[in-house]
Amino acid sequence: MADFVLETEALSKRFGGLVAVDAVGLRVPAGEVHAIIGPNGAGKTTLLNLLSGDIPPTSGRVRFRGQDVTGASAHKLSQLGMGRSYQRTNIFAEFTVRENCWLGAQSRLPSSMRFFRPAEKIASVAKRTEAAMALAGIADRAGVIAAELSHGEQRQLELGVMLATEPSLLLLDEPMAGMSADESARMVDLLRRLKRHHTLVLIEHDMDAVFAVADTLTVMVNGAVLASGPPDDIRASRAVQDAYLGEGSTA
Amino acid sequence: MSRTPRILAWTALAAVILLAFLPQFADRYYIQLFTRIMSSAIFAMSLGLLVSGAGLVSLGHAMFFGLGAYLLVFFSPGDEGAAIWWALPATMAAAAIAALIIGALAVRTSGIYFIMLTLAFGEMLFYLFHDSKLLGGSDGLYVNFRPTVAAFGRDLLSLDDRPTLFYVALVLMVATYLGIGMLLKAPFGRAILGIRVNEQRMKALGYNVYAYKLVVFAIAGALAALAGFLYATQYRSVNPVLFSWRESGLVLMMVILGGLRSRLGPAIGAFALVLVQEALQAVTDDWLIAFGVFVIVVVLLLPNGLAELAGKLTPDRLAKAANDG
Repeated sequence: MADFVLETEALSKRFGGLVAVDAVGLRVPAGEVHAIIGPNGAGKTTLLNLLSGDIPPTSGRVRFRGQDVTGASAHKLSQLGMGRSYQRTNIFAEFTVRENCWLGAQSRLPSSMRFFRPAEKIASVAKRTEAAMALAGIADRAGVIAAELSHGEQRQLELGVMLATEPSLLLLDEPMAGMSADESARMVDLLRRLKRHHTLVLIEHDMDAVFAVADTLTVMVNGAVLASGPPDDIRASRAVQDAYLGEGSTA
Repeated sequence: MSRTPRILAWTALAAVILLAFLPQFADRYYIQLFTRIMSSAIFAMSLGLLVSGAGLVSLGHAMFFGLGAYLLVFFSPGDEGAAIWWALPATMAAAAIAALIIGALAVRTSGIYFIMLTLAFGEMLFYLFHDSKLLGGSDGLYVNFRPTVAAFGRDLLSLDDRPTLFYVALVLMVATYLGIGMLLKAPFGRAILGIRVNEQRMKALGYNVYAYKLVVFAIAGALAALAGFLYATQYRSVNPVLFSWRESGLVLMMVILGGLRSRLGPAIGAFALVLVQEALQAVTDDWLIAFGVFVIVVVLLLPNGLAELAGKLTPDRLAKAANDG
């Protein structure tokens, strides 16, 4: 069981009469990049919210590194090593890049109720901050105020803040949203680098990017899994083409 | 986070050194005036920690100043002064506990609701002290003897001596400034500044936002009580007006006038507000109108407060302005 970093069993979420996520079973082994694709309203973000603990499931189970974490809070899952990024960039706009990542790194201290010694003297936090900036590819922008970064850099910073918490599993909601072609290509490189030491589950609409980084694709339609498998199989699948890729896709 | 321009830091240091020589050449009136301003500056810095540190705008902060002042009365035996070594820490600790209790409810809210709750608590305390005979009623109470500063049975300082009290206030003001600076640089400060900028993100990162806000509220309360203690030591009388929302509004005005973006802002605001008042009172009976004009001009021209003046006056900025002109 511990072979899979993340595993779900018949995971479902109902909002009143609407079944947003319908009996989804996922198995994500360590080191895999698992992309979830599907048309708008397919329930992808809701699924990610269930995985990250932002909302509790109606039924079904979630296992993280062999441990049953069904219904655990986002805070608890974050402490266990799950990192989540959001579709809308959510950073500390007034702070520098380094100060942003610092807050991610400092969140791993048992407590920040420390009043006397300057924070920057805490070597473990400083080390994690620098490592996260380097990994996210924004170390050369360390002293820049976040609000002054380009959109693409802000998305990288968003990842940097999350990486500073040293997660083993990353849940990314449309990391390329709103990016230019250049920025997207940089993000693809970044995701490839992350893949070496992290497991990634991501939602993405940019199909070129998805096929460039993903090891496994899961296609969702109307809250349920339509197909799941290696990118080439998914690309070849008739059902998927009809349901999703068919509409205007060159894949 | 908070970046103090170098020129502002040097100006402040020069001002403190100048202030240290004031008792050598100024008369009694000015020694007293500046002693009072320095307790106001401590009070303003304590509120500044709440407002610029954690983003908590309180309209009831005078309640802790008032508590500090009244606690000195309660801790003073009738026939001699209280020993400052325990009376001051006990006052600050009691105010911190009061702030923890009030804050436990208040910091659950934010924005306008936090303003309303702190206002309500402040007014409750005002009426409690105003209407209770036991607590002195509307006339207030007297400190019969100023606190004593003694060690090994010998008096080290006499707070009855005006210049001595002036220097004690100066030391406490500088210590408060440095203490808040230390706090803001520590992990605790990073956490509360993060909460001010993006509370929701801090929660998602796993910070216990409520606990940090509560603790900063208690620290600000204890520092306000220090200012109140100093005030009561100087004037030897306390009354319920110290709790009033007008006092809370005035100190908030000091913080805003001085500038929310600078750690020196609240202290600058306290000096500016009182000194401008003094100057205007000397010139005209309608000084409140003139004072209103002063406030409007500062807010319109210097949205980041008087502390911003120094930033505008750095040599390179001036050169740039000259070139642009």
